[in-house]
Amino acid sequence: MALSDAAVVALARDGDSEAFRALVERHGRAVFRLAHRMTGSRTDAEDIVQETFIRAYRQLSRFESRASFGTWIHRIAMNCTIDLLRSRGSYHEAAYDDELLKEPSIQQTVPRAPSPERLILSREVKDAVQNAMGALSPLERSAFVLRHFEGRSHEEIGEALGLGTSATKHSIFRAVRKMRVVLAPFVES
Amino acid sequence: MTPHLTEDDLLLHYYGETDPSREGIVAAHLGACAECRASLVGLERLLAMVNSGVDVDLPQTFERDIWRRLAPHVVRPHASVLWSTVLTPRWLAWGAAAAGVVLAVLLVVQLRLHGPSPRKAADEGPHRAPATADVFRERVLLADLENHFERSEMMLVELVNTSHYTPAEIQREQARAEDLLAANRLYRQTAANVGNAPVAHVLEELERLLVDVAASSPTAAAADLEVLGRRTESQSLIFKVRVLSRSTDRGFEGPSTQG
Repeated sequence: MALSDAAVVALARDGDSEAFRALVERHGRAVFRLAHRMTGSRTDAEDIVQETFIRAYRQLSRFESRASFGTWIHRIAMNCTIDLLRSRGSYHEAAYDDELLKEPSIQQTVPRAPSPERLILSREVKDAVQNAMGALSPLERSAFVLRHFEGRSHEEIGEALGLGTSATKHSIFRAVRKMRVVLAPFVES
Repeated sequence: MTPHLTEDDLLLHYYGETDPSREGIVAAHLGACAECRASLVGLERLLAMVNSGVDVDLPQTFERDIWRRLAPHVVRPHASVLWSTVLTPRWLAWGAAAAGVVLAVLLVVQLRLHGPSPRKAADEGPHRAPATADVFRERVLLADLENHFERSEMMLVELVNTSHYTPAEIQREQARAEDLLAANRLYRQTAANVGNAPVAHVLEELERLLVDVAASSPTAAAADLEVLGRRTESQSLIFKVRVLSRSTDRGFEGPSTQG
């Protein structure tokens, strides 16, 4: 039977690098998924995975074994991602203005209505979703991912992103509206 | 009937985050309004689509690849591990090659300082078999040295003449500098050991530059390399390396001047 995360963490704390490797193998994909969803970049996500586990390794002594390692490592990954986005200087909340949804840059990303045959191509749907996510600002994207995929409350998201609850909600609302515009042809057919 | 629900209302309802004071109103409206129910279904389809399309496929080697990047940061080798690493065939081969270079340079420099000139030895004819073998070996080794100087010279010329580096060019220059550095160190130490101060001096200058190129920070590498290019120019390093290269071609007498 496989050792629990808590037991593996205890071994890793004692300097067992193979134990730490086991933690990387168990949680690496989930960390990558979170980072990729938030950044939309494979390269960034790989860098974030690396940085997350390096931080985790250095802070292993602070990890409380009563907590879930998965939750803990997710929080570190989320912070790493937010740090990366902030360091890029592109981490600003767009004004809450519906006019922005009419911007040509967003309208231009709307694909033409696909035929039913094309709809069955999951590749196309995947591309459209990536396109829709790409139309979000880093802040909207982060807020949406943390709400939708990570199931965080508005308060938690606001705390992580440095926003008030209301601004957090609006970021998520805006993200969904933008995605609806881009994905409308797929959803409607 | 109450007014239609907004998209934000629907999203809050979807996530179960409707304000408790409005929950009843929203639920009653959805029960009565087909249009809002359809909007809610559209929202559910949209989010389901996002769920299915947001992630990329990862290769099976993902965990191994990540560990390969992480290991240098989190694995602290103790002595026995270090030795077992050093004693792998690959490292032994590198060690042997490095030792070979040292011996080669020692041999070349000693021959030049104390032994017969290649031309003279060659002139003495085939009956001097050991001397001929020495000459042959010496020529091979001189060619090796000359090759090092030529490669260094090419790198310096590019360093001086390139003003805007792309990331790919930076990586290439750094890799080239690292490659030259190991050999240069050996040549420089050997030249110093056998007392060839002019050659050792130029190799030392070259080594400092190679170290700086190889170690330039990724973020400021382009600017760093441009500065290094100007330094190369101001120190006439290309000229000195070229002189050494030609000297090697003629039999390794080294530059006669420093500066």
